Amino acid sequence: MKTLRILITLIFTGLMVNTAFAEDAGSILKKMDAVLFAGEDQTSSIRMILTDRGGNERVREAQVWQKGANKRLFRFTAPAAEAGIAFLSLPDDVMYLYMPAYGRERRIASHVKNQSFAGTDFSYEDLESEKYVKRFTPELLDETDETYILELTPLPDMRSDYSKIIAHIHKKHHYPLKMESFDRGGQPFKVAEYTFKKKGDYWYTAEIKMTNLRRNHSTRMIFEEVAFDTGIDDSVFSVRNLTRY
Amino acid sequence: MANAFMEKYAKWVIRFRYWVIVSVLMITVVMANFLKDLEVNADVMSYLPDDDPAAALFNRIGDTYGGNEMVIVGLEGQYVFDPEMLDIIRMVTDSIRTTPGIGYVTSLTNVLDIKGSEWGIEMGRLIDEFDIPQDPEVLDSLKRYTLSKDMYRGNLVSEDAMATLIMGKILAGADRTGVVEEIMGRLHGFPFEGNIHYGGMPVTLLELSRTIIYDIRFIAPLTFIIISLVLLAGFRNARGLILPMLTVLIAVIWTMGFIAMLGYQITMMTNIIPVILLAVGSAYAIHVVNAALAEHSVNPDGALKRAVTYIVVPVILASITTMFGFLSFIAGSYLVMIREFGVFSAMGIFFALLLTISFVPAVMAVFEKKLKTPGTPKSLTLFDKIPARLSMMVFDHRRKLLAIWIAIVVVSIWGMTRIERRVDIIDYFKDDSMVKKGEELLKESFNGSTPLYLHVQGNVQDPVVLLQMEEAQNFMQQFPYIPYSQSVADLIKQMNDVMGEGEIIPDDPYKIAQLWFLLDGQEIMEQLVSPGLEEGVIQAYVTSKELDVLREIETNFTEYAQNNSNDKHKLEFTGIPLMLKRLDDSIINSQTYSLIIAIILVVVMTGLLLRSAKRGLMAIIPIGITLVVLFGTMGITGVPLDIATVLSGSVTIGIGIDYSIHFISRFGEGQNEGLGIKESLEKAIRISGKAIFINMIAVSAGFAMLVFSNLVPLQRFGFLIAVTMLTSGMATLTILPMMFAQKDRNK
Repeated sequence: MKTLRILITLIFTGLMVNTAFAEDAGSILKKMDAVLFAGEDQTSSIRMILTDRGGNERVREAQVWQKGANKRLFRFTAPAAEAGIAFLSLPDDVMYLYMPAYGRERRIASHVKNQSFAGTDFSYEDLESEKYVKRFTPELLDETDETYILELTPLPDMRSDYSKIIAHIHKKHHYPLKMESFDRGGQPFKVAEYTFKKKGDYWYTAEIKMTNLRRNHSTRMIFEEVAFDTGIDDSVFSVRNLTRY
Repeated sequence: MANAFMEKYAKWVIRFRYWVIVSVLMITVVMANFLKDLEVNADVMSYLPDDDPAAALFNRIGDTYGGNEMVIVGLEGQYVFDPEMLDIIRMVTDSIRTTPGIGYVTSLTNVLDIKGSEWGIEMGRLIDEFDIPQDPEVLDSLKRYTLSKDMYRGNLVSEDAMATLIMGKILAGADRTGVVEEIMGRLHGFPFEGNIHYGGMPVTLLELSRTIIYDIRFIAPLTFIIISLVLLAGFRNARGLILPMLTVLIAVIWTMGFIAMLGYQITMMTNIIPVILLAVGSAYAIHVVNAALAEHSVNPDGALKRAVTYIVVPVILASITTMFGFLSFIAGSYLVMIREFGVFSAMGIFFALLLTISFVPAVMAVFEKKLKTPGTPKSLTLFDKIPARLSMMVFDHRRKLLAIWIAIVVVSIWGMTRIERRVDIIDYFKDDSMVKKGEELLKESFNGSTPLYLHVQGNVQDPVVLLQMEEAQNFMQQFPYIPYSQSVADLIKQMNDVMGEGEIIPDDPYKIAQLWFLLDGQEIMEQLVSPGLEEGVIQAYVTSKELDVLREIETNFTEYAQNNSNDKHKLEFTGIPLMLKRLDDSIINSQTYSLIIAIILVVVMTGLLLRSAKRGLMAIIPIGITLVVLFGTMGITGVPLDIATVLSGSVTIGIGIDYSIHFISRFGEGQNEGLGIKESLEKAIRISGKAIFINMIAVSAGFAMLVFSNLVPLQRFGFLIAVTMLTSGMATLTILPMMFAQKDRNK
């Protein structure tokens, strides 16, 4: 009788522990978004190392300013011939391009999301500055001691290039460790591997290595000099500022 | 002395018969084991010679820029700018795109369209696959816009908007034919009311490899059966059938095993080696069996030894001349696969010879005791009667016979003037083949399917190099058979226009670098510039493959490339038209070289081995007439000279001369025995005539089976050899006796 009671208690506590620790897919994704879009604003410099099938490397460098989830300015600094080229992303899929050699900005239409960004393995969709919860329906597939494994299915109106993304998310800190994207035929397409570091209160992406499995081509984006909450003025994200180079 | 040696050899073979049989069987087991490693290589491009710079460059461009990895799906028969049709295009695009092994797809529903507008750059899809237009007015303006642009009209959609192309790039290293099969499987039964066509190198490869496998699996066994039936009808006993067929079967196993052992692959030419060996090789054993039976009927004691002593020399002679016939292709041919075909066919003949003079007598020695003395001779068959009657016409109807041959030769000479040449690989496929239909569509409704490349070495971001590219494109497109060309210069011009500075190459390298930044990573860039940007390519397609067009391209374009190369950029043309031109040159060269080589070698060999220059020359008279008939037939029936039919001349010499050799040596034997001309002739006809006649029917029937091949040149080749074997057999059986009889009259 006593053993039975202990057993029952154990089972119940076990269940309670489980329910207490288990998070639903939606909140996991929300927490991941919170890490990815931490802080009011963020600045960093990025080094992009492009490696082709033959192992040849090319390097591009850029400066990035981001405020909230959907304002971002990307300005290239190297190589010299491309220095000054800038992309400004604003809410509602509004994007501007600036080319200093032409001295003028051009607005860019938005329906090219699966196009490569600046020759990298990141598509415009991959770099979209919109929260994941607004783009995907998550489902918890599995969990290990350290990670949640979510299957993200694009919302119907997302016009995504992917049929799904399998996201491996760190259980404790909620940053992504790996995202595997599948094409619309369900074939593995790209893999993004993340390295996170902590600065102050925030975890930030120190590196993303994106591999295009089809092209056998990869890009490492290395984030340096990351700063949070420096109070970037809204005017930074203006067309006027874009052309000021 | 030679006779004494042959007698020694005959004794040796008969004595060591079991050793010979066991060794042959052991080698056969080993060779058969290699057969499973035999692979088919249908890639015609891999048979372009490495020592031709244009061919090497063409293959390098194919590899670097992926030109040989494009699979083209054509949808034809429905109006394109219709919501339902656009949706079909989108679905087909998607099912190709998601096929494993496909890198990317270009179609109307996913092609990148860059437009400059008053408010900025619209870098989007030509047609939004997520939002296919439904409004007729929108569709109409979409049609007008699409057809107004060179990069779409004739490339993705036909001028009349009744056909569209979807192009899939197969990833480097993927199984190209496997990917095409997968795509076809996916599109099979697709709810589309028009026709689905396929094109591009991978599709050609798939159809070629299917054909090659079909030929080996179906035509070789068919040839085997037909020849067996002829032999059975001719000899009316199993020995006359089983031994020759077993011998060639072993020769086929050795040859194909040897090809595999050396690491070579089966090509669209070497796949007919089994057919050739069956047809040609069986003859050797037939002559040995026939000789043994003939000796046996005279005196059973030591019949085999006498037969072998006599027959080895003519058989060696006959096979050596045949080998020379095949080896004569090595000199003049452009395609590596033709050389391989010549060498391996000759090797097969050599194996057949080896087996005929060792294995055949050894097996016969084992069964010699069982050789029954034919009591009263069986009733004579047609195979005895016809050659006898033919040759006897020489005595009774000499003038008529002469008149018939003269008529044939005159008609043939007239026919020879009408011979055409055909080098286009597409013509090798039957009209109802997938490749031919796809090609029709590409040629009729689109910009063509015959790639021509201008390779430009130099910094492709340099304005000078880009301007040169633009100029070269203008040069190319002034020819009516080049409707379109594409290079990175086009893209730069287009982007410069989008930036508001007109459709020109900017002279500021800084601007080019920044435009480049926008193009970087786009799929089309891999097709136009090398990853290191130190070279690029202008792609064009040619709509005509007429010989004078090919000639014009070769001379004009090569000259243009030379004149416009300098220290900044080096230009070089290559492409299918140049390859075809070279192929055409080589067909003429091959024909001349191989015929000359074959004739000289055959005269020398036969003269040497028949030990008389006169006999050597006599031996080639029937074959000379046969050659005239061959080329006459080609002219009259419209069979052109192509990569396979060009071989028929030397093959005819090589095989056809055998008849003369056997006939003349048998005749000579009679003379040596002291028989008169008429008696010698009778003997030659009785023994050799029958073997020649049976062989003529068997070889013709065997080669005729090639008409069931799916490759047009092989069909033509089979038909021609069947015709020439009949001609050369008939010529041997009538003209040679006529000449010997003439000798008699002159005495």
